[in-house]
Formats: sequence, structure tokens, C-alpha cells
Amino acid sequence: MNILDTIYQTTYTKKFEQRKKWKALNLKQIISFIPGTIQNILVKPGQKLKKGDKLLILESMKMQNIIRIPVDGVIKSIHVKLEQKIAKNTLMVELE
Amino acid sequence: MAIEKKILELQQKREVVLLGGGEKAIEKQVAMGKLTARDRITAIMDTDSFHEYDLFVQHDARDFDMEKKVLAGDGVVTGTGTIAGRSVCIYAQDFTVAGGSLGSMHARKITKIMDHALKMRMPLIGINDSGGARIQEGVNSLAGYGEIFFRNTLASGVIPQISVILGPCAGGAVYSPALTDFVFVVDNISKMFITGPEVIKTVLGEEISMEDLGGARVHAEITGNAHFFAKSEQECFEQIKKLISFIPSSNVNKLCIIEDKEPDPSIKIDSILPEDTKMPYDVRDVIRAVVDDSDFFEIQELWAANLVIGFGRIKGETIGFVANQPLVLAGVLDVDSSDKAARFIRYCDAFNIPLVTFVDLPGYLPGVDQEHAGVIRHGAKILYAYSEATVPKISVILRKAYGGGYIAMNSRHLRADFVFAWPSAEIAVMGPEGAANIIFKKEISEAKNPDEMRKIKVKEYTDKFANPYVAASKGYIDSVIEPGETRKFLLHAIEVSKNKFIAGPSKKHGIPPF
Repeated sequence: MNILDTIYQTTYTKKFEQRKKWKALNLKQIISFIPGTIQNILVKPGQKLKKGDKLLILESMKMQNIIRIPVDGVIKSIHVKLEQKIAKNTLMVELE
Repeated sequence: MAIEKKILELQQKREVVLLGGGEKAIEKQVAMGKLTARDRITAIMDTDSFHEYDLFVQHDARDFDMEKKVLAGDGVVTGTGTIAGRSVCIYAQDFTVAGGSLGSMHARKITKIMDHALKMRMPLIGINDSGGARIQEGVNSLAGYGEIFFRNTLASGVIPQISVILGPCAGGAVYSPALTDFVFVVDNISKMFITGPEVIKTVLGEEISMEDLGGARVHAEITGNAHFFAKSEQECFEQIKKLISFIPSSNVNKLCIIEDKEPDPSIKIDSILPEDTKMPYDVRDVIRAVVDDSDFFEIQELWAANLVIGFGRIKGETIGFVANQPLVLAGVLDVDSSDKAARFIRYCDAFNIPLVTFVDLPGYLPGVDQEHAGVIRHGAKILYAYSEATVPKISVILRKAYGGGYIAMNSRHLRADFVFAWPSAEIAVMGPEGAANIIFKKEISEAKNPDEMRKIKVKEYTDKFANPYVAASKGYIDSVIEPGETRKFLLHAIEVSKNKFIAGPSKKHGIPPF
């Protein structure tokens, strides 16, 4: 294991070996942060939106969660259907 | 004689209640590989020392046909007794009675025994084996839980509180063990989670078995919720008895100092460190070389193994040990090990147990996942815990003590009382390789042979700084000692710190980075 340029001989913990490797966030992909049901899709492909506009409603934990667009952009494709039950980290909407 | 008839009546009533949920329910419990509540208490306590109270308590629920149901002791056994002659309060939930579910009278029995423990200043042991709240009693069950959690917190730091999970402990119920000082789990029997697999499947679509979600191994190895892991209930009871023998009965009782024994002479403390400073060794060997009878009682052995905590005795007195473990993750400090150390330090501080720290770490664990997990906030916990502790604090720096790690591990600057260092100690702001790369960056990049120059500069740095004498020259460490003298120095340091008293600035309490 390399710590500050010094290599040590050691064993790893299970948690360290199993850790999720970090990936940079891709703002063009709107990914679900919580599992739930798609209640309402408010946009169409090709639609131009400003930062903060509503994309869809995700019902989860007995709440209607409003998913908003994080940047100004154009909708490329919508990957979910109405009433679809999705898991965490599902790609819902893709931007140009 | 009229009284004889009455006595007979009492004995008959007792016999019925002592059977709990009845013969059939007891059979089911045994078939699951579990002991009954009263059998568990008998196994833990000294023979014939257990006195049960509230045997005839009845539930007072009237909804959902509850008036027709008779629940023996309302599903929990409470009482007092002794373990190795030391008085303790104990309660054990009875899974044979309505699944051990908690109703308001069940909770009332538990809170009564908790109040006793707090008043009489004795340890509280809670055996959890319950299906959760009794739905028929509605909000009254929740009220019962709330009263228990509040008392767990009130008693925290005053009396030792031990939770033993010998069955399901789900939903809100699991917060009681979480608030107590030590949690014992048994393989294949303990189950702890907030939401069970059925709920997770329905709401989230994730499929996982009860054992994988919140079984004993999960809590002993991954979540750190459990402090002791046993393969059988019997092994668990032995662990409980051993723990009780180490800890004082309350924050005002001083543990009687038992007869001391010398450490195992076959452990040669001089030969534990390997020749190469980058090779690991088991720091527990060092601890065993200095404690009485080489008897080191490790806590949370399977979780955050890069830091070792536990109890040992020096000259008969219980000492809390904290040590970096080079065998795992090179002994670095990270999110989990900081949590582990900080909580243990605060426990020892609350119960007046002196702390001895063995230092050998290259620093904090680098990595995006650590940073994003908040290693800053969690790492600060260990600094807070050491600074706040007013028990005698003694450090022994065995090998590496670099940068933030040096400060965090009970340095003089966090008001350690005595800091010793072995001649093999390297107390520096950074390891030689890392430091040379930064300080001599220009010389290395301008040299004809950069690699050769780097090697020279690393050696220069090592000779000058990778030793205990620079820190010793400023009085940051008190003494450079030979490994063989360690026990002698520790003994003396603890002896002279006996009457340590510190009065800090008056405050309600600090704000640790929770």
C-alpha cells in the first residue's frame, strides 16, 4: 500500500477492498438519487429548459419528489415511463 | 394452616408464569438454537444469585381482544443478581411470550430495573430478543421505547450498559443497544436492522437475506455496531463475564485492584519490530508483552482492524489500550478507526480508566472515498476525545508517527501526561520519501541522475529527522526508552498519575464532531 510515496507491506480490510471506486459526476445524465415510482413526466425530447425547471415527479418515501434540471439544457432522451418503478442510480433523463 | 394454602397458591401461580409462553413455545425457541430468557440469565449470573421482580405484572391493553390474552410477565424477565460477586441489574426479553413484543407494561418493567441500576450504581445488562413493538398496543409501545432510550442516555457514562442481542432486534428497538456502551452478538442468532428484508424488497426492490442485512457478522465486521462476536450463546456469556471483570461498576466506584501477574516471559518485546520499517507486525504482541498475564481483552476485533482497542491490566489495575495496527492498512487512521478510538477513549474517560496508547502510523488513509465519507469530520473525533479526556494518558511511540497522525494519537500537545518513544521511533512531519520529494524538489529535478539524487536526499532526511531525538530535544516526548523497559515505565507513570485532577473551563458540555 502506497502512503505518501512510501510503500508499506500490509493487509487490507474487507471494507477497503470492496469500496466503490469514485467516478466523476456527469451533469448530462439525470440519475435517480432514491428508488421510487415515476409519477409524472413533464418534458419531451428536444425541449429547451433553464436551470431549475421541473423534469419529472418521482414518488418515493410517501413524498412527491420534484426532479429539476441542474443546468440550462436540451432534453436528448427520456429513459423512463410513467408508473415505472425504478431503483437508485437509474438513468432517467439524458441531456444534449 | 391457612397460610400454607396461600403459599401453595403462590407457588402454583409462579410455576405457571415461569413457563413463559408455555411448553410448545419453549420447544420452538430451542429448535431455533436459542436458549430461553431465564436459562440465559441463569447462565450469566452466579449460581442461585438471581432475584426476579415483577413476575406477576400484567399488560393493560384492551383493544383487539387483548383482555382475553394472558401474557406471562408481559414478555420480559427483570431482576438483580451477581456476576463474580459483583451486583448487576439484568433484563431478558422472553421470545416465547407474544414474540417478546414490547407493550407498555413490558417497557415499564424494563425502565423500573434501569432506574434501579442508575440509583444503586450498578451495571445494566439487557438481553434483546423481541419481535418489536406490540402493534395491538399502538402508541403505548412507542412510548415504552422512548422511556427506555431516554434512560439509556441518562445512564450513559454513569453505569456500564451492556446489550446482548440474542434474537431479532428490529426497527425502533435497535436504538437501545445503539445507545449502550457494549453490544454482544452471536453468529446466526443476532439480527439487528432498522427496516427488515420484506420492507426493503417491497419499497426498494433489493433482495437480501436477514443474515446478510443485519446478522452478527455484518455488525461485527462492517457496521461496527457490535463490540463482541461469539459463535455460541455460551461463548457470549463467557465474554460478558470477562468484560464485567475489567470494568468498574459505576463512574464513582473504583475497581478493586486484583492481584497482579507478570506478562508471559516468552514474548520478547525487543524482537517484535521487524528489521525493515516498511514491514508489518502485530501490535497486539506489544500489548501482550506489557500487560499482566499477557491477558489482553480486545474490543471490536473484526471492525476497523487498523486500530486496536481493548482492556488489559498493569499491576492489577484495568487500563484501556489504543494502538495502531501496522498489520492492517499499514495502521493508518481513517473514518472507522477514528470512530472506534474516539468512542473507546470517551468510555475510559467517563469511567476513570487510564489510557495507554501505542503509536505507529504513517498518517491518515488517502482516497476520494475517505474524503467524501467525511474523514475530516470523523478524524477530528479522535483529536477531540483525547484532548477532552482527563484520565491519566500515556503514549509510547513505537515506530512511525508522521504528521496529523502523530498529533492525533495522544501527543503531548493534546495534553498526554507522559509520552515515551522507543529508539526505533520516527517522529516527523512526513515520511522521508514524501518529504524529500517536496523539500529537495529543485535539487532532484536539476540533478544529472534524479533517481540517484532522490535516494541521497531521502537518506539525508532519514538520518536527520526519522528518529525520536528531534522531538525529544524540544521536550515533546518525555523519554526515549528501551523496549524492554516499557512495562516498568508504564507502571511508574500510572502510579504517579493516581491523583490526577484537572478542572477545565466551565461549560455545559463541548460539541464533539458527531
